[in-house]
Amino acid sequence: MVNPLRLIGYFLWMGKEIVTGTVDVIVALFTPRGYSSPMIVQLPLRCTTDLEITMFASSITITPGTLVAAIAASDGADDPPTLFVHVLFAGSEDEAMTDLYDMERRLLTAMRGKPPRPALEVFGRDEA
Amino acid sequence: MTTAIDVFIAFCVLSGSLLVLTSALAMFRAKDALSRINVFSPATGLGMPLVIVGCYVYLLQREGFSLYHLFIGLVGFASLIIVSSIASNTLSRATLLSGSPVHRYTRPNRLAYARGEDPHVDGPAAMHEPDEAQVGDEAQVGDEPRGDDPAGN
Amino acid sequence: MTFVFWTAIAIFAVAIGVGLVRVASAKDLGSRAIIGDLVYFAAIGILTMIAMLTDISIMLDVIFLSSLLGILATIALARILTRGHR
Repeated sequence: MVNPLRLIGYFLWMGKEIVTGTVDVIVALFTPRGYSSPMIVQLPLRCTTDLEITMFASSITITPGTLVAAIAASDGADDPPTLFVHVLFAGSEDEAMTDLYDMERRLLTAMRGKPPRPALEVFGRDEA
Repeated sequence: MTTAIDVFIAFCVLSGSLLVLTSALAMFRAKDALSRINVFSPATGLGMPLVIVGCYVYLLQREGFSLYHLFIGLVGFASLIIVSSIASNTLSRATLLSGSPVHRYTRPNRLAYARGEDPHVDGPAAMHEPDEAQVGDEAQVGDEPRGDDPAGN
Repeated sequence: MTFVFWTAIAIFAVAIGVGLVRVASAKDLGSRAIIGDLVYFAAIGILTMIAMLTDISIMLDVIFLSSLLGILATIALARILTRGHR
């Protein structure tokens, strides 16, 4: 069930994310090696429908500093749809994935009316 | 009152154009095509919408309220954000498919190495040889277009 | 106000100049495609500023249509990059 109030709240939060990401880009412009540590992380999704995946991919791309590089579709029960996300300004892979999963939690809470299960519980994490 | 509105219009227009310039300079400094597509979103996500807001307020001050202008402004504002995001997705995917090289300090690169197999991040346990320019694993993203050698030259 | 609009035009023009220099020095095609997109949006900004300077009443229509149709150029470039593959 789509929750309109939460959806509006999500759009406002996206606006805040766009502004902070823009500040990141501007700060990196005046940092000597600001653009030198990109990474591509693999992000299994909790989104299931096409609409959720499209909205999440668009949200990631419009945020400065993150970009969807490739989408692998789901082809089975234990093979979730996966995004490959190019991240520019993140300290480590885990930090980047925590931020992205936070965005996904907000989107799914707005789209489904209740928060999804935590990502750690769904996919596990086979290493630290 | 008019002065305040003028200052607001000037702020919107100037910060919008400065954000486009920021994107241009960031593209100048970024290392590979994916980073350039990445730093394009300040221009389309914040800069051009600010120009639209400034333009709409200018028109509002000049000609009064009009439902048509409000509609066009809102649709333009939303379509800039949504459309440019989808365009960036398409272009980044095409860039990877066409095999343009990823910057060699892209670590970790999960398109080339799965988690736990990256020799740069996860230690020397991995068996792959590090390349100078790692190209995304085409098996993950789709068919590789036929044609010349994608890794450069 | 005229001064503000001329300043904005100058900033957009500098952005186009920086982009064109980078097009000349970039090696790969993806960079050239995305810089083409940037030049497109900067040109739209210049057109809007000129419309506001000369007080043409279609200034909002220009930016509306171009923001809706801007995706066509990018997708065409993307298809050219992959040589027709999707």
